[in-house]
Amino acid sequence: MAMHVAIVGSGQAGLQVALSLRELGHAGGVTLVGNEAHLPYHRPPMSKRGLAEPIGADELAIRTRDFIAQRTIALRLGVEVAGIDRQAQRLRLGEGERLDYDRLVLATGSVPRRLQLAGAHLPNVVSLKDYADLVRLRGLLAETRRAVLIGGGFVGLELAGSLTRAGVAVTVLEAAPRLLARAASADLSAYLETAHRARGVDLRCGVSIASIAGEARATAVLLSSGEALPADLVIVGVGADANDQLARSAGLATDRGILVDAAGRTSDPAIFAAGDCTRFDHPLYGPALRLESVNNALEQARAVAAGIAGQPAPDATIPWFWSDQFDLKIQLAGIASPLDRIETVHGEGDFVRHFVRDGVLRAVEAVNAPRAFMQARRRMAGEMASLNHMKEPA
Amino acid sequence: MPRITFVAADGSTTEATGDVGQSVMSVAVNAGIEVILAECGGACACGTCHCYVEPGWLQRLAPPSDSEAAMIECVIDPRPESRLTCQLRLSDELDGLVLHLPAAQY
Ligand SMILES: Cc1cc2nc3c(=O)[nH]c(=O)nc-3n(C[C@H](O)[C@H](O)[C@H](O)COP(=O)(O)OP(=O)(O)OC[C@H]3O[C@@H](n4cnc5c(N)ncnc54)[C@H](O)[C@@H]3O)c2cc1C
Ligand code: FES
Repeated sequence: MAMHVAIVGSGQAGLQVALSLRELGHAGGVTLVGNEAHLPYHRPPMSKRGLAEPIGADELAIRTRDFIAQRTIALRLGVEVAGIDRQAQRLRLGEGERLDYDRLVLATGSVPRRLQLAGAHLPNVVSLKDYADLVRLRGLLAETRRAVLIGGGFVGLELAGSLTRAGVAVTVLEAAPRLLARAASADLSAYLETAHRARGVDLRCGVSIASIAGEARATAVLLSSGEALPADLVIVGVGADANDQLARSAGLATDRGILVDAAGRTSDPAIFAAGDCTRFDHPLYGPALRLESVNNALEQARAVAAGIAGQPAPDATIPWFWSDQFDLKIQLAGIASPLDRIETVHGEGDFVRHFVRDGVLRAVEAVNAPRAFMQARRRMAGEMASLNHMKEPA
Repeated sequence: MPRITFVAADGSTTEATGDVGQSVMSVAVNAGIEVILAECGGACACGTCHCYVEPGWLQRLAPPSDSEAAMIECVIDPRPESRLTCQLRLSDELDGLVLHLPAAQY
């Protein structure tokens, strides 16, 4: 049966589902619908090299238009999907157009959280999520001497490095008592706090923000303490939420993310989901896990393609992530938990911690220690493989 | 514009040109080389842009950084002539470079 697969969201996960379907020999139609006008592109370089180098959207493209066309993947870019009619297996596109599907994949990514603060709407208050945001940010850079970053997440810290190197005085404000409170161990947070301060960033944790001051443009960030931090540019990076709105409106099971199984199947057997918009159960890192990473987007996309092609779901893998801040190459694999015993690995790079529980290496965090990181990752992959093996029915 | 020849695992070749300063990974992606996955977008973090440099060319390339060398240890079938294409920058001296592609990156 030549099934038509419609994919909503032409990001990392959406494109990979389409490509993997063709690799697996899917013979039916594949349509990739995305509301951004650009070819699917790499987001990570935007906060790392995107300010120093004038990288264009084409240079960030994951694959060329020809490459995608040769695999008979129909690209519908700049097209918003407005709704799903599950009964009729039909998408409602903007402009009243309809698109029928046999299988639907939701790869709608995440949406940056908005600040509920006076002044958050001013034109020099920005977030960095899409290429359009990068263009806006670059445009503002020429008039920027002082930037205040609200939120000390990975993207914010990468931008702190990029902006400092561009000669901008940077203040980072974090509401939590430490940086990266959910994504990193307390050790790594402490290491990065020291490292950013040593490189000239005015970093403040545990601060509460009252408002953004300014009439036509933001001119300062006001703290609850009464202090005013002057700014020509305010960057908001206070996390993102799963973009599960289409799924929710269509009555699929969601819980701050579209709930999927190991094959990426949602509560409707004709509908799959992959990437930042999902939540899934991981055998090591717990139920209802949500990740925002390229690695996860690609792994889930491959699982979805396998599921649609009628192949068994691939085994669970160890999630990994990287971040480049100033000269700091940060690499994480697995997810550290306060329940783990921490082992400091000496003599390898600038910072290496192993997180061990019941003799199993569950996570590694490394800074400028690529060899130690890769060794730990390989060991974890081996342990994960034997865990998957044990679960297989005899 | 320096010219690169990519030799696939099945022996077929693709020629492509790029700009001085451009990464070889980006030249390969623009030329539609499927096996250059480049999943991290050139951050030396994924190891899925691996290739083998034709003997004779290896000494003409700047040596790998620690980080590239560490990633290379973890690719499928690493060899002394292994490099990550995202870490190679085109220059006029590299005009004529020949790179051999692995059959797969996983
Ligand atoms: C600046 C930045 C730096 C990052 N750095 C790293 C990093 O170093 N390492 C790492 O692992 N990860 C990093 N990430 C995260 C990573 O890019 C994401 O996890 C990944 O892109 C997720 O892929 P996705 O396909 O789920 O979502 P996305 O790539 O966000 O794609 C979703 C797409 O769907 C579109 N869409 C949504 N709703 C609709 C609709 N109704 N109709 C049509 N289209 C729709 C969106 O516009 C978007 O184009 C970074 C992200 C950003 C923003
Ligand atoms: S593109 Fe990821 S290491 Fe080269």
